Amino acid sequence: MRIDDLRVEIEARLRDLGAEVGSREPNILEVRVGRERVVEAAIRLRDMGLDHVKAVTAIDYPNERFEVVYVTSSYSNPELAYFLVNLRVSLPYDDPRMPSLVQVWPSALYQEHEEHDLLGLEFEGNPRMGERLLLPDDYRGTPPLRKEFKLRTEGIDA
Amino acid sequence: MSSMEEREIELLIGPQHPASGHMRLVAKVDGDVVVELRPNIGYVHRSVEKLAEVKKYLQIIPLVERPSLADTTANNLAYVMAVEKLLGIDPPERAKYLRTLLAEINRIHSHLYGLGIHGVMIGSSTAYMWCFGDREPFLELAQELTGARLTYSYIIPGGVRRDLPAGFGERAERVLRYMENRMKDYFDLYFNNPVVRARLEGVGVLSRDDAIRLGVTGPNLRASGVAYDVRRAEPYAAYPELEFDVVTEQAGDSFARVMVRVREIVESMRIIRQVLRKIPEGPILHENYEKLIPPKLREEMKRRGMVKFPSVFANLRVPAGEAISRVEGGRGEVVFHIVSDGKLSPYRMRMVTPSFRNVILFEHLTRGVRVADIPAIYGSLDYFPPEADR
Repeated sequence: MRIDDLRVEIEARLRDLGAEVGSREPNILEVRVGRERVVEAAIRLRDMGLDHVKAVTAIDYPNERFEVVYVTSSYSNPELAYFLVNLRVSLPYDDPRMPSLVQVWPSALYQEHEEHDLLGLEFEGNPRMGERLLLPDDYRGTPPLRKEFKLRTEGIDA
Repeated sequence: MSSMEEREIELLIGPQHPASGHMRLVAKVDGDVVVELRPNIGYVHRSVEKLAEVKKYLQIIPLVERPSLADTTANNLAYVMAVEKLLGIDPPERAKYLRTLLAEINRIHSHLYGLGIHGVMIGSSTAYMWCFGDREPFLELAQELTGARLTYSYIIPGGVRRDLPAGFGERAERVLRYMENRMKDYFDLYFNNPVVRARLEGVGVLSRDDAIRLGVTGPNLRASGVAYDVRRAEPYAAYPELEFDVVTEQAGDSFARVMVRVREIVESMRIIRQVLRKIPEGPILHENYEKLIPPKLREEMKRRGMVKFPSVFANLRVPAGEAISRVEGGRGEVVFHIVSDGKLSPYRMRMVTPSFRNVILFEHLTRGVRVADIPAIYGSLDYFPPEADR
């Protein structure tokens, strides 16, 4: 399968959800969708064989937005295994919540939990919301992966 | 409370359990049957991702290696591959073979490490001592190649740090012959041992569908019959030119997971032999970086086969953009996602290790098993705690 064929197929499947599809590198597709449509988009991607999530990355662009990236691919379809399809959602900085995709991809359970813990994002429907994964249970304060959390450094930096 | 709830008690397993590291398992048990089990992955190496935001690209290499001490090459390679994608460079052929060589030596000693820990978890201290003893010749090979015992930092953007030492091939061949003969002993002592098989066969069964659904990775995935291996799915380094089989088992139980690792050791040895036979002559560092080295040092580097870091590397500037790389490590797929804004450090670095992706198996596989089966399942997952908390 060529990446253009995959792109055309995803565009056709997600057109009515207002998704934007772009490509990057020879095997990476970027699918951008609004948070209110993300569950439906995920279901359609899963149904075409993108059966698991490899990574959930969230990026903090201070005072602007968070960007959550689900890196998905396929185990069951060897043709799709070469491709990575990134489902991207922008979240407003003052209201960083989105529906959880755990019901669609159970493999996102711990990764969403980690982003919740370290970046303070809310994934509604993820059963682990409100719990800590890596931080101490009594941790209060800025989530450490946010840009406003400054690491203290010491020593000589040449 | 209903009578059922009264019967359940909470049992904390670890973090002092032999070989479990700082992992703590919070189990709800009814008698000795596990009703529910929640892993608590603990803290050791935390904040690799945050630290990466204040370290320069080259300083991050030793940082990403630390969480995965038995399999540092995979992290080293995956990270450097992501940086290379952003830089838009491809290492020379010889460097690709050397990367593959170290990755496979590392895979063998990572598997022997996992099998040894598994041995001690189910009470076979002989298996533990044999596996740890037999890792040693492979560690020595890696040390000879890289100059370090565990955290090699061997792979750098554009190539590798050292060339193959003289006479390495013969010494490697001796080690491989030793290990091949040794395999028979392992089967006699351990894998064909009725006690071991009784404890592992049919225990902690992971179906093919569940393995896919849960996004399990590495030998644990292949033991459930899914033939997925990054070395085949998106070939990197010298793998496209090498012959090897993707090892799978169908049973999906603890024994199958162990067997996948054993059979992968044999495949890795096959790859190492091919690498040593086919490795091409040529430079080990990309010409763009090689020409930055002062001529006198460059001559010495070629003579000794070792790269002195070009000083420009300290302030390596990576173009703005995003890159995702994946590599098949000993325990499974390692994924790096780097967002660069063109400065000296990554804007955001996401590191997903195989053990973190496999944590979900603890709760999935232990529902309804006996407490005595927990170590057998735990050991079969080849879980490495620091890799999960990073």
